[in-house]
Amino acid sequence: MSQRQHDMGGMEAGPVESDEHATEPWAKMITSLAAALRDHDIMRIDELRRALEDLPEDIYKQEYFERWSEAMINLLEEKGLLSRGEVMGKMDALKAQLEG
Amino acid sequence: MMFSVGDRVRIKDSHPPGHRRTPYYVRGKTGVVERYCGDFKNPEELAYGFDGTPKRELYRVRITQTELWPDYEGSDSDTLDLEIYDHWLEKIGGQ
Repeated sequence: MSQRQHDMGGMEAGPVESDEHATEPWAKMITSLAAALRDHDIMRIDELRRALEDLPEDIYKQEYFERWSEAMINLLEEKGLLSRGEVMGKMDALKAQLEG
Repeated sequence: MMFSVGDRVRIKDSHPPGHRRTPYYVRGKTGVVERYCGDFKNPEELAYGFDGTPKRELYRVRITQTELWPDYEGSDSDTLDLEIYDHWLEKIGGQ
């Protein structure tokens, strides 16, 4: 079994970026959703970590909160609570509403 | 408790698939138990929806940097502390 993608200790990784950047509202929303899923005993932090580590490489390379949203959708599907299609459908409806 | 402060321990050189809480780069390395941190539900089981029992004992293990990195250029006395669950540890040495 080879080293998993998150387990980077000792790998060449380049310099650490120390630039400050504002957190976008959607990223805050994802953090809140994760907290809500935990508060309602729907998702454990260990499950989220596992789901993050299991993401396909191309998705794992995306931004931190992109990863979180993908992992959370996968967990909701795994648990039979919501399908990816249902989540994406709701996102499209919200987008249409916001764009009026 | 399974280990005492000062015990020399080896972190298992094991590579099971799935969510594991022992970093790859410390597997197979040896260190010394620095403290006992308490017992906790096993996160490697919680990650898959199981109840995490039996609880596992968590130990803080001190490893020299030269043990971890063969090309380490700092002091021989530099160390790394990290917390490892009992099922990843085995005692080494005579007593």
